[in-house]
Amino acid sequence: MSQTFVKGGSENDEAPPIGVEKMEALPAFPDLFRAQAPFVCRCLRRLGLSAADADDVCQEVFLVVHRKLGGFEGPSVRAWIYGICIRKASDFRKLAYKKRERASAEMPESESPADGADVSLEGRRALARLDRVLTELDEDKRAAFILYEIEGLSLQEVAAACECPLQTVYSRLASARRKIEQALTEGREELQ
Amino acid sequence: MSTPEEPVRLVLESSGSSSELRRALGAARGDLPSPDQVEAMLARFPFPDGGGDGGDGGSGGLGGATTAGAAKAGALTKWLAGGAFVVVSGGAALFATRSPPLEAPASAPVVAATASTTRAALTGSPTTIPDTTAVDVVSAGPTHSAEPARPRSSSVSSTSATGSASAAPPRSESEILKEAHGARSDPARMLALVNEHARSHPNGMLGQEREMLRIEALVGLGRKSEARALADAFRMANPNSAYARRLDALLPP
Repeated sequence: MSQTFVKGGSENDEAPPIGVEKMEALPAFPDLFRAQAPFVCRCLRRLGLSAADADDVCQEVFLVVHRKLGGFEGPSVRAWIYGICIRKASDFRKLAYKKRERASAEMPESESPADGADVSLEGRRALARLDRVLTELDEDKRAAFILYEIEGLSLQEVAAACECPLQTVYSRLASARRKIEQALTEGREELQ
Repeated sequence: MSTPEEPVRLVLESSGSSSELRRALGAARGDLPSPDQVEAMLARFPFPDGGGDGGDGGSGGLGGATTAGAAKAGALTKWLAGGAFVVVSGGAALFATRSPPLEAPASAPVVAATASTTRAALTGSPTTIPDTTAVDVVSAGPTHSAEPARPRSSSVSSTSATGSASAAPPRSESEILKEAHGARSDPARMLALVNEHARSHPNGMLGQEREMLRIEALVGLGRKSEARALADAFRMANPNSAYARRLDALLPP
């Protein structure tokens, strides 16, 4: 029986869209990796991992994906992968904490964004500030914000990835938005 | 309960967000690895034929793995046929009476497993551990503090499996396991790499992958009774494991 994922509905058109309009068979694993790994890496970076660690954790994410793909039955493969991504990032941070190593809570400006990314200097600085603010959020709010605002998932998909009710996602997102806007505003005022 | 309406995304001006936040979100969305970087990551994927230098199967592995039907099953079966894992969870030592090695070179490490740990491990030193010596268990505590920051892209030579790497920082989990996958034609070396992983990452995230390779290596060395014992122990400890089908493909119960 071939597996399916749902297309359409995702706000982010960079990735294979997810939604309810059309069902398609999942691609072969390498194609799935090529399609989703960039977004997993991006998400991991925003979740506070360094570029190097994001690479490694991304590999771990896709090891899980490869292992469990046969049993995947959800409506959104992308939300499923992001869910794995969030848990792996959380595991990594806990492990790093245990090891008394720093899990790159702050994103070095020199390596953010990714090499080759077409981002202006102004954009880099803004992103660095955003990353700093993100590290001040708790994990749940940060994940909700990243998945919705950066990764472009729908609220339903965020709820699936975070394994929580839709209303919870909504409140987490609202809270994260408030805190981020407030922190950025305060940061601007301090600079002025 | 009503479904909350999706708020306008902050990257859009109509959301009323600040220009700085929109700029940051735009930069964040553009912060993607390049296609070349993605290909490099895929090549490092620790599976046979993942695109890297590992794997001797050529035609199989991930390249052929699809998620649909028999094609997927076939590809996974092929991949799994090379894998091995051990999860030892409860019980006595499994290999106290294993038969002598058949074709294992002198460097073949000894497999040990007990129920009290989930890491059957070997010291891996060919000069200090006779192949027929059984069973030791990794009893040392977690080595998190000894695990260095993940080395990237360092192509550590295979000497690390021979114990000479004590001065070098341990390699990342995926790096070691990828090399182990690439050593499928040399089960003794594969086993040594598995043991290297067990030593350097005893509580690693890829423990099950490692043990898949261990069983494969044991099968390759002709030590099927050990492989089967480890497989049985795994089945007992993890009756609902996602690895069950893979294990059955490798060693039918």
